[in-house]
Amino acid sequence: MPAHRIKINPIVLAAAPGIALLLIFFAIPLANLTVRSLTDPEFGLGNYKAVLGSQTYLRVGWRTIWISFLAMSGCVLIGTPVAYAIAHSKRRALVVATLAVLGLSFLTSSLIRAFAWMILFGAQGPIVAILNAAGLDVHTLLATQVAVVVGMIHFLLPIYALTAFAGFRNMPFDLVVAAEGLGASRWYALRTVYFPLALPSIINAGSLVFVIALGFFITPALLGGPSEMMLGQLIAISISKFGDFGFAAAAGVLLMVITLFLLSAVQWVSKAGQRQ
Amino acid sequence: MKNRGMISKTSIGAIVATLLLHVSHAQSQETLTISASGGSYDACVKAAYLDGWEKETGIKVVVGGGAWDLGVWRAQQETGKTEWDVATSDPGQLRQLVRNGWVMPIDPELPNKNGGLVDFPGLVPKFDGKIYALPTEIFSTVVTYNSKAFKGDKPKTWADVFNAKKYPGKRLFSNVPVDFGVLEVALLADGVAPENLYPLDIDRALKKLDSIKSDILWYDFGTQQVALLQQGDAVIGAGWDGRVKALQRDGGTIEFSTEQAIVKPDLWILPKGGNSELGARFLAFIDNPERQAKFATCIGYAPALRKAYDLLPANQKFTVDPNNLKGVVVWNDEYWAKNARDVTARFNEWLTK
Amino acid sequence: MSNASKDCGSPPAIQISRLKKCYGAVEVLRGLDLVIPEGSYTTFLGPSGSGKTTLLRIIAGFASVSEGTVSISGVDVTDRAARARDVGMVFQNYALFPHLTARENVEYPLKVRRLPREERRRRALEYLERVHLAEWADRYPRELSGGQQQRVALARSLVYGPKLLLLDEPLSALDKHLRGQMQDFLKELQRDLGITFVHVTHDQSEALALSSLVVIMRDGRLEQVGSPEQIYLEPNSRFVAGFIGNSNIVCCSVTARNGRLATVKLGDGTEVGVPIPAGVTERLGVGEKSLLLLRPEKAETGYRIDTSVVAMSGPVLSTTFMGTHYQVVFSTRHGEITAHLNNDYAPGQSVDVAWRAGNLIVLPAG
Repeated sequence: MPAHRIKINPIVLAAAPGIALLLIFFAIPLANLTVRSLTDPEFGLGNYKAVLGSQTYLRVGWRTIWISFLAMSGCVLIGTPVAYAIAHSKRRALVVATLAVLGLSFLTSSLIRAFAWMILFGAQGPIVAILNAAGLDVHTLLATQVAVVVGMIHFLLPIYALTAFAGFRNMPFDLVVAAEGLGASRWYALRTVYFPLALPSIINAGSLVFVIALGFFITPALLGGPSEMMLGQLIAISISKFGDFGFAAAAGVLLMVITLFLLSAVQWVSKAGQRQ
Repeated sequence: MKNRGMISKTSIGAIVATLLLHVSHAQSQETLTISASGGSYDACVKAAYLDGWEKETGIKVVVGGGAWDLGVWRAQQETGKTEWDVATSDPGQLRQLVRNGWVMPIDPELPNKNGGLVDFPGLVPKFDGKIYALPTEIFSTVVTYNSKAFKGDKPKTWADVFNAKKYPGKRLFSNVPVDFGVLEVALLADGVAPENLYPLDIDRALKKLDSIKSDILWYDFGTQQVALLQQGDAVIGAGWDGRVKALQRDGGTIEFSTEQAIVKPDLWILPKGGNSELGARFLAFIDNPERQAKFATCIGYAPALRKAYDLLPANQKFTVDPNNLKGVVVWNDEYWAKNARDVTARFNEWLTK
Repeated sequence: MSNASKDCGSPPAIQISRLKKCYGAVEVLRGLDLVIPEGSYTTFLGPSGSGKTTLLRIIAGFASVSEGTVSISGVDVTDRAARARDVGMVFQNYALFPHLTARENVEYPLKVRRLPREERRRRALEYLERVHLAEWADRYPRELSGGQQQRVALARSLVYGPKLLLLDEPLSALDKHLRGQMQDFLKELQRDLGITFVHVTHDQSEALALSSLVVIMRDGRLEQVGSPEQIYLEPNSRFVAGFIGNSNIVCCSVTARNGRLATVKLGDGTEVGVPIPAGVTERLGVGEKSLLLLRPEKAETGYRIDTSVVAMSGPVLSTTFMGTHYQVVFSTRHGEITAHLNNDYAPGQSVDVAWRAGNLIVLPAG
């Protein structure tokens, strides 16, 4: 009989493969990326100075954040009612159909979807035809912010709606019923009771699509012009044309730091809001 | 080569394929792995080169990932996992590959065999007396337009592309100047003579571009260049002759002018770490007038071997006449290899303003 | 006096006619007619699945009816939304808004009604005072105990002055001690406010302790409606008798009837004259098999055997001390019998117990 045994918490044991995967596929590459940004081609902050010293990168960086913010806002506006409907509708067929549509569109390649939008927004596309029929003189909608944001929303909406749906499903809907019993209209009850309680789910889903949006480059490349250029496009060129891993890594790390900062600011504000 | 300017999923695919191939290389019978270029280019390579090669040598060809992305090159070379035995490249990329020591020299006599190449300066760049690439075809950036857009005179020169009064509508250019020559185009339109083009006067080029900036539609992906013209989002711009011909075959109404074509060779190279001996055999195999003529007919780009021109079909228009090279503008890889970073940075600064 | 005013003039708090409720093919309420008088404390009592909560939700407007009508204070509200019924409702889980403080919760219905801020605040505090929670006004629900949350919910559903308060099993989540206190509190509150309370419960002692009217439900039907005394003393059926209080049930047959009095004969030949509950007079025929109910708490010792009592004797099986009495189970010719007695008995010891005829209840079998 051994004198003592090493006790391993079963939860730790169960989480170990997941933690290992996270380490291998996220933590190590991230560390690698950071090291690259500081050592490639030579040790120092040169890459960061180069990124921060480039008007182009700063301009495109803020644009990236702004366009991602627009896309996220669109997802919140459109996706929140959808997530609400599928979380609380009693019509099973409708719920299943909506989930299927969201799931299928999510599975379609982003490249194919962006090309489809390129045709839809193009000079011979139906949207231009409708706008012209309505008396607006529009030649093409390509290379516009509208096209990029719509294309991005189309890609991100299923992610947003399904994430928000997962949160909404656990919402205590009887509180809405209770509010109605106290005299509130459905809309007033949603606004004063459901929405404040659903806010963390909305923020989570919104943050997720915002972060994903920051990394976009196919959609803005196909649907946008220089005014809608996103950081991903610049980073892509610096890798594919110049093999500048260190510079690209520095741009990526900076984008990540800014993203983390923005996200923690949002979390902090929402926590403070809840305490209050 | 069709996918210049695009970092695609194939980059990731290439890395995965590299790892897998490395395993299979060791155990299975001898195969030749070449880089993919995408779409019709790969189909023409197969029809003109690969089918005959496999028949003659009995060595199977595996088409791997694309080699246009310098990031993929760097990843492969740094990890010592070279995917390709032979790959396609262009002169600008070649200089970077040579500088990094990622390619193997080839038989210096190879380009002179079989009647020799078209007489362009720098078609076969030399580095310390060695050569690293075999050119097989010459592609051109040409004045491209939708023939339905203009009733009277058809546009011919780059000046016409910048003449928004005579040829109204959106102009289509790539936003990657190192690949697509938008700065060269602007300078030629502004009256700079081909022999004085390099070093590029960036300020003058951007000023010229400024004159039509609001009329320019920029694209990122090669596939967009003819699609957006055919779709009518733009009416005129800079395109590639081969792409235009492919679209014409599919019933498109896009036309191009052979005047002031900016030419650049497509190259085959031997990546370091691949089976260079086998790769060299393949290069010798494709350095052949019949095969290059067959390839040129298929892809629409002009062949590199002089003798291949005699075998081209009469009904197809090519931008290069090997007997009269006047007026042809040769893309200067030496300039670009030296200045690509700075020029791109300046261009992007202007572009995103 | 209040009875007189109810009879002539002012309409009942709730009037339900031919009410049916179906979920798909399942009929959960099967045609109910019910009048709940103004100012009453009414309980809906029944086992789970009897339809009592569904009935309450229909009155509140949270569930629709399949057939029939619901009127509140004489107004047909069958098709009216919950928020337009001006009814207070306390949910089983309280349904407090977790992101609002106790005071904000109580203010909520006033905010909906667009009362000015100061007025809202004053009335919310007044009602929190009423439920003894004034000092807890700025706490969030999660910072309050179950009983306190319960009282916040009460204040919230009363603050806007509804004429009718519906309570869905409000005490089921509380511990026994707290439940007793809350019962007293609710009763007092109802008396003070003078409005109608309708309270759903599955606890018979709660129903008896609180109500002026008990509605016993079973399988989507009303089994019996009456005052707690009526329900206790004159149950309509074995179901009601069994539901209200623990009863010993003994088989017998009716040998004669004389008005509200029946002569019954037990298996051992004992004959005794017992009163017939009002609700069963028509269903109790001479010569038919019947049931005799003996309430354990009505058992007596030290009796004289005559025709006015039913006697039971036998060896004691078990004794349990209940505080106010001993619960004694003993074996007899009629089966096991339970009696509440004042003395302790050892198992095996013989016991003689009797029930006065006036305390017995006769019911039709089945």
